[in-house]
Amino acid sequence: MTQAPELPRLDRPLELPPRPLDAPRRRAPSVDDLVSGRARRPSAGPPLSQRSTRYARAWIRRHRISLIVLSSLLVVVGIVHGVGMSRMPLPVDDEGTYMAQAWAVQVRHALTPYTYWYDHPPVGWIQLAGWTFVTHAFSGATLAVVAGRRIMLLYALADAALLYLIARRLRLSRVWASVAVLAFALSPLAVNYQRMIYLDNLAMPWMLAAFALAMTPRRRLWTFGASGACFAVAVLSKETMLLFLPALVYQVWQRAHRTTRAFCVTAVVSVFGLLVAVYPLLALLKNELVPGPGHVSLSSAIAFQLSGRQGTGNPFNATSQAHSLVTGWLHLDPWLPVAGLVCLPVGLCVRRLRPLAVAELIALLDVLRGGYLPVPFIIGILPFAALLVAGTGSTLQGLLRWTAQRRTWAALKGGVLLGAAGALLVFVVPAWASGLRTQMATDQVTPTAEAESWVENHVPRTDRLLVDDTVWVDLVDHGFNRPYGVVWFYKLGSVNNLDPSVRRTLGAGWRNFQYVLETPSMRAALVGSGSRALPQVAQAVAHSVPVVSFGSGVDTIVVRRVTTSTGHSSTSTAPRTAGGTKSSASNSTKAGNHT
Amino acid sequence: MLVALALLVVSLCLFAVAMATLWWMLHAWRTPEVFRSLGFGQVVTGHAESPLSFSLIVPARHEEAVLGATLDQLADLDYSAFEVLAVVGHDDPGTKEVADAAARRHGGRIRVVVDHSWPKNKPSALNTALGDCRGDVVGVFDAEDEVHPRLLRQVAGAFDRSGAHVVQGGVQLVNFQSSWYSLRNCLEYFFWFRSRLHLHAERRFIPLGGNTVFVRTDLLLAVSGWDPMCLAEDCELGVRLSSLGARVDVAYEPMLATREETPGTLRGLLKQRTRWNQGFLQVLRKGEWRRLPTRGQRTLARYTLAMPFLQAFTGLVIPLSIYSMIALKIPVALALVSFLPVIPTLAALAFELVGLREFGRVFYMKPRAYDYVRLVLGLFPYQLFLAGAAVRAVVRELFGRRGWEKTAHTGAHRPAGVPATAPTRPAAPVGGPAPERQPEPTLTMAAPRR
Repeated sequence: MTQAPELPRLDRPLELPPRPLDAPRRRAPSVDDLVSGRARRPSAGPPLSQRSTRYARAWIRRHRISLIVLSSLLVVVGIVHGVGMSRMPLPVDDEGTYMAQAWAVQVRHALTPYTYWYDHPPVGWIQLAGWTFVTHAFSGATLAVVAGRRIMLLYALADAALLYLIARRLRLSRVWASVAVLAFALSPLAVNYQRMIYLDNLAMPWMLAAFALAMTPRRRLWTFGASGACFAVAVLSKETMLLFLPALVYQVWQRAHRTTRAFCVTAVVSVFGLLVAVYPLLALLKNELVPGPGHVSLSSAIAFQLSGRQGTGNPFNATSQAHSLVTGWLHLDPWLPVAGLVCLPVGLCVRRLRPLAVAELIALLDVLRGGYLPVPFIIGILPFAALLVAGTGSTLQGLLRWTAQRRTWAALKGGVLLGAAGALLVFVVPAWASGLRTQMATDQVTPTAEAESWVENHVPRTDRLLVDDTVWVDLVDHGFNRPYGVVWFYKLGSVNNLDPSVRRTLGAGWRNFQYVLETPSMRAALVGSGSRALPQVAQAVAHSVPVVSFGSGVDTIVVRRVTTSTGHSSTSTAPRTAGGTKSSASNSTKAGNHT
Repeated sequence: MLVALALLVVSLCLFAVAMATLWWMLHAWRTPEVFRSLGFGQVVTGHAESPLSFSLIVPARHEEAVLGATLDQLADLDYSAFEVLAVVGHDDPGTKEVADAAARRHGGRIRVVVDHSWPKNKPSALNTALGDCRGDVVGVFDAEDEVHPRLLRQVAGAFDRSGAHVVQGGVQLVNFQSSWYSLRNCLEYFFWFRSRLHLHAERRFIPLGGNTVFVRTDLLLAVSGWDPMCLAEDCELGVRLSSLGARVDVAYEPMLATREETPGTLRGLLKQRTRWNQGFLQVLRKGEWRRLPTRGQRTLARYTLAMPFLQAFTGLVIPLSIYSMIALKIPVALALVSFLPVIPTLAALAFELVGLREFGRVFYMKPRAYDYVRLVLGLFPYQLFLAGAAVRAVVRELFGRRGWEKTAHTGAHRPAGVPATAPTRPAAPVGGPAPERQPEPTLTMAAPRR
């Protein structure tokens, strides 16, 4: 590890530059000049375009090393994220949901294809719609989910760049800043989840930007206001980001100067609060703020998310959903989450790392709380873990340098560094290499594509299909576009669904459908108590026969034709063979997982 | 459709106006460095061999209640070379008597100038005294001002250091607990002098304040003093000097700010605000600002002078847009856009709450929780009030009614226990109830100007 020049001097008081007023001024014009108008001529400066070019050149010159380092990092991030992103991981229904909602925004100018019931604030898929419009994602050339994943690559690159910026603003050396970026970008866990079209990914750059802006070295008031605005976008993209608000306010409080602190904190909080208030205002304007007969409402959606939703249990309880979810995360990569946890005490002790440590701590406490744990929740924790790992490394390096000045400790320095590097090589590198190989080489998407094309070629457009959200946009775009021609399966049930529109329109339940596209997500939803919560879906599966199947094992996709006779329901139903197996917690989703 | 389009345009304009106002209000807190740079700074020593000399003009009209104490304070300022000129009207023997008594008490420090001009107003009185000024620098104070003893030393330092032609000191209303509107009025002064005025000095277009303003005598004589026809003579002078290219230094130090009181009644405040607005309108129409050298300055000038009206407009349109949203059933997206101006308005309220805390801290007066509540509740009524004053100013200007509506002063800003040289002055404690207002003369002058 090279000794970086700008090692952090811990908690150095921030000095103010000399007061501008003390500097000698240009001589003021004489009274004669004033009265005769000679003083009125404006001082001619270079034109704005010239000034901005000059400024940009100076900026690039000043940051050229960082720019070189960062662009090489981004190449690595792009390769690791991009190679195989259209094949791995398995598409889940959430990805299809958000693509469908982006499609609704772009094509139908509505927030959702069905009734918008305030499950999440809409800014996440509004962003997505902007990108799908720009990239022609719904041209039909690829699966909608694959097109969406290409957009997620941009978000992953933005995350990496912002992480680098944050690390530099923590006064970490370029080496340690690169460590933070690589830890986040190379962890198979992060790669797996960052590839998926989750709202958390759409919110993440905004959240990181809020922190980066809150660490402004110049401490300009508008920068803090911009930080609040970015955080508002993050929260309006994914409401769980609200958890990090105390950490952000703490970061602002810490970074702001004593004299302007109250105004800086007010800037962040008021801009954030007022922008977020637009969301309830939207509900109010649609007359959907409070429950009433015949319409959805924001307050019942919030009540549902906070208390109505069945909790996933305590992660330490081996039978809970949370346990399988957390072990699924750790199965993909134990190293980054554990290292983040180990570095947490250091982060809490070092002043400049403390706000980030607080952010991670809040997220961890929320995991342990035992409430509802969303599948992609880990995405919000990993960047803080990566920053804490790099910050701890940098702090240790500083301590070592300090101790190395006393000869007795000099040997220790080399020992610890060698040990750390050795541990890294022995444990982390092989684990990540194998994890990344899986991420880059496995194909879990092709069965979905094959099933889709089979349906498009064999099923009459007048037939009604019960499907997983993953394929919804593609089928609608390929001609199954009559009203309620393709239906998200969980819209038939009462789990995660406060929208009664489908049940009301399709009163006959499973008998309305001619085909069921049985996917891993659907099977997972029907496991255990799921069949009671989604009785019509279970019935549709029970009253259908497999026509053709794609893929193998837990990832099998089965096209089933619904039969009115109940006779052969028990002959060869796929749920027994596939859904019954405990699906790998890493990729599968929980019941109607609509995080 | 037309309504929708109008609503969209108006909303976006109001949003821009409110954002600009908010941003300028917060000028001083942009960065810690800016905040630190905006003060008098250290006293410059070593100029004792040839100190700047000051002539301090105090115009007074029917202000026998407060003038005596003010003159005593001014005469006792901690500075070597200055004189005080009390200007009284020839038709106002009561005030003249108080001024004469003060002149006798302080020997040569105070001179009494009798103003024979007609009609009586503040700029005429100032012009009358200008001819008698012997100092290098002319300073203006109002009859009810509380002036800090060390002010002149700091101002002299500011002249020396900056080489400016004009130095504007701070003025602060302090009786923020007298009433709901005095609280808002005090904060307006606080944000104006602490923050906004510095922006104007930096951009070299500045509407000067009515007192604690210091101008080099030779310059003032060269531009023939104040405009006697203008209701906002201070603003007018500032605009005229700015357009000539004069350098203005704003020196603000809370401890040294001249303390004043808000008008005792809402009606008094309305008259005062109407007069300022009308004055701004006159300055806008007079068009001196068109000679400012850069386009940016001219835009700022036009915007600043028209501000009272934009502000009034904002106050009126917000309830109107809420009404139209409910009544007209406009699309949700448009309704959201029409709420845009509310965002900077409420953000400004949040900053006012912080400003009140800061105000209390620097002036050593602790606001109660009740004051914060009052600040929030007063937001909308005060907007309405400002709108009313703006409309009234436009109407008066249209009908050619340009008389001075004098603001009465009672001394609510003076702490109890200040030796009362003028026997008739009622001493009211800070934060106490507003004392009874003096009967309001119809044609007088001297009012706190920001």
